[in-house]
Amino acid sequence: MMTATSVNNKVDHQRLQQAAQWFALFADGEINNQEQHDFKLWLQSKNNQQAWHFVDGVSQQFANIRHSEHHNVALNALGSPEQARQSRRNSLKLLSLLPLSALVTWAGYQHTPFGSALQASFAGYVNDYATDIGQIDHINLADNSQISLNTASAINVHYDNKLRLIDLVRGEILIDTAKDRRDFEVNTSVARLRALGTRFSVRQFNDNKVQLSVFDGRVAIYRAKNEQEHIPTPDLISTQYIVAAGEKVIISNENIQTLAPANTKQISWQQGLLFAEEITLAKFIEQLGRYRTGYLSVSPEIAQLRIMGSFPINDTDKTLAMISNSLPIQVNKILPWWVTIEPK
Amino acid sequence: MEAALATVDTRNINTFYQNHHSWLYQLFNRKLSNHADAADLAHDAFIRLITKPKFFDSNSGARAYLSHVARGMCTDLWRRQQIEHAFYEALAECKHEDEQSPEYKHNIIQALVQVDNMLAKLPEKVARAFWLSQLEGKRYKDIALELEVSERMVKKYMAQAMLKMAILAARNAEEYTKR
Repeated sequence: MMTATSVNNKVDHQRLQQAAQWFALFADGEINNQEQHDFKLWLQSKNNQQAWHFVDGVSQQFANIRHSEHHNVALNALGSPEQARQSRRNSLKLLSLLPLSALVTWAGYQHTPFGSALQASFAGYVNDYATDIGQIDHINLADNSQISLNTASAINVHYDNKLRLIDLVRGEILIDTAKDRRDFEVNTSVARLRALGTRFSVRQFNDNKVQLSVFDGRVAIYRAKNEQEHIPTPDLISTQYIVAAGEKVIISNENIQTLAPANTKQISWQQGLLFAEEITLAKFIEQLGRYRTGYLSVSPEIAQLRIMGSFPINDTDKTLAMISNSLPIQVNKILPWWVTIEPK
Repeated sequence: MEAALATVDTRNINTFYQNHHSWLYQLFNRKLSNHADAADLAHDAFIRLITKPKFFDSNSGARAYLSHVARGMCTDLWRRQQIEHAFYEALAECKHEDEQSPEYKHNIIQALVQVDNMLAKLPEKVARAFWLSQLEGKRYKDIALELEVSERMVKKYMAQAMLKMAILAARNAEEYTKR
């Protein structure tokens, strides 16, 4: 427990540093699309989110004063930082005793995938369809094709006379295509996918890899022409690669890897369920973590316990309670967003 | 039983309280010349030791710690009173002073004290830059002019200030959670 904490602290310092740099970038007003994009990517990591919460919490305290009705009065009361320092000059302040109330405020602070202070900055940057962490959505498109969005996913829909194109910005989607004379394609960070059949799921990972699972029909993988320049394309996918029903592959810039057969249980999220088939607790928590904001960790002693069953993903607290009933584990909720799982 | 222990453990709060409370109260009373404040702070100090237990090798070790904590608490109280006073004075000059609830005023003062506390831990120019940006809403280029540094330096100050405060918040949160 002690060692785990100190390791975390080390990681956190670096992340806090990054978070502080992001803050310094945002604090001067507008940011460009590239910066928004980079920040979102950075924020997809759980640990980065954790670091960002602290930065957001601090900036919130200043914002509270700035937005208060008596903003000017308040500032006068505080005097300049120089005056404040003067009044403390003769005091030894070796201990920092932040009032407890500050911590309570901080703990009760509403956490969102993006810090609330920044939410406004992103108002202008909206995808056609997007889900928050833990949210699942089903969309009926104009041509009657259906798309389900898994947690923390976003797509843009571009339909024109010739093509039905879905831009997968982040996350995971399950597609049931409707018959139409136009091609149906999904654009990802590494490849373009063309539906030759009807039912498949695509997941865009943070590290640029893409997972494609085909449940019905076939899907062709190819590179969009204008992207070929900067992607080293091996022969395998220089033109086209067909994935058949029941197949699951991981597409990276380097290659295409075939995984275990595609199993419809992996898309049980569409029904709001997380299906576990004799997987380790560590793996299960990793999957559950996708549906939950905040920090979720498992101690190594129990990481290898096996788990089986289907669990609700729209209520991860309930799922945690369920597994703590069936396994010798204890779920400690340190803060609403900070949960550790330890041996009982 | 207690006598057999070589160390002083604040988790034995009854014993600890009996041994040190009146001494600590006197200490605060001497510093503050105010019975009520002294009683409040002495009480707060013990609350802190309940939420965050400590061990000392002797009673004199415990008192050294307590007097150290007391000094910090007095400074915080003085600064708080200063801010409170200045706030009410500035508020008195406004027309609609009485329209605000005591709760609202309390919250603002609380927020000011926290912000003040954080800024006081930063180097002067860094604190000034942060102040101008986050409380006065100025742009980096204006802050750069005012502080006579480059805009890039202002951005650096901002990151530096935020890092220091975020570390403080993280550290406090962790102590809070270990309770």
